[in-house]
Amino acid sequence: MKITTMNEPQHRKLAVLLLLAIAGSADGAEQTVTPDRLASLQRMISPQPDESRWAKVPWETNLKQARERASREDKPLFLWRSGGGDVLGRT
Amino acid sequence: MVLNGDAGNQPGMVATFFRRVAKHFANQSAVVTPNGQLLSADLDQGLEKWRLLPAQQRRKLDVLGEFDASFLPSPPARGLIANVYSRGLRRDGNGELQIYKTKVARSLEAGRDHLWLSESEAMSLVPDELAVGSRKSVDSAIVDRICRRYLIDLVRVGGNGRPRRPENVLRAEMDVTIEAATKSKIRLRIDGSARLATQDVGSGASRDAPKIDDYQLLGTATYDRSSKRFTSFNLVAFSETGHYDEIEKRVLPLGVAFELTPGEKPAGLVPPSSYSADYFGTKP
Repeated sequence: MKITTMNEPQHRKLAVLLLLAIAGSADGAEQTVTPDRLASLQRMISPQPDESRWAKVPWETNLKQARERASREDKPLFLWRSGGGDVLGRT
Repeated sequence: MVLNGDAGNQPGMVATFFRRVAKHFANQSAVVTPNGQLLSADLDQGLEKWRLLPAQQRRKLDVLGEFDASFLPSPPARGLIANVYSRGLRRDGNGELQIYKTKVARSLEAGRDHLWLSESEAMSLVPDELAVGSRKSVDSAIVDRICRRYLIDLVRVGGNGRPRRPENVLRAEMDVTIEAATKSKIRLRIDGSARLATQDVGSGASRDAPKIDDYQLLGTATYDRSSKRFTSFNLVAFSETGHYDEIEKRVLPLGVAFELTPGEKPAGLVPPSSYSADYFGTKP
């Protein structure tokens, strides 16, 4: 049987690693969002350059104002209605 | 002109207008006259028909009933308006996060919403003592709003944005810390965590037990001392299990990002999808 013991530096290293592991898994949530990854993660979640071309349209959201403007400017309305999802928020 | 699916439930002019357009008009687009006459679902054909209409018919504007402006509340004056994006993510072979997309249309883009903070709520984010390292807890009403109304799987439900019930916030905390302070600006770090539950159908919750997700929040904000306004606000919330692909039956990471918006365009001024009379914490 071989018994090994930790010397002092190893002991300290293990203690530090244990502390880091505990800090990193607080409440079961691993610290995925760190200050140096914050901006890249925000970019990943946000609309990508090739997405959401529809969002470039200056949509009107007030039907009363849109009707009056269309009549005044002699233009038709291009109407888009979602089927339950709120595409821009509550419109 | 963009409207949500439930817009037809609004009384008066909006409901009458939609009845004129079509018996059922949802998840689609169309070219219509200001008076609600449907010209075509096809843009080119619609424009062609428009040109053939007499000028009087094109400009005609019947009174279709009252317009209830309460359905379109305005953002709080001098408040903080943030765009909110939500996206399902996946881990690649190296454990790195990637955007999760499937053939399902709603996975192809980020979910969208808006966060509103009143002026006093926004001001409350700044610690009283304007010294580096000064720290304070975020007001519970703001934490509750963020957790219940925005840390939700907007992607799964296509942006319906129904808030969590109060009892589904098992734990939530957020703090702000001053990282830098000059005569003109205060730079803040926001960090927090939350444990949230859901029993929604299709959320991945089982019949016997809710789905429980742990969220980590981290962000930065810049406060301009002379204008007393925030000039930046960037917050990311992340959960390793927050997204559920109900077709593939996979539990996946979810990211939610908040960014300050000037709210200059109509699309940037629309109310939060879950807006209600008690949005700011006051019951009607």
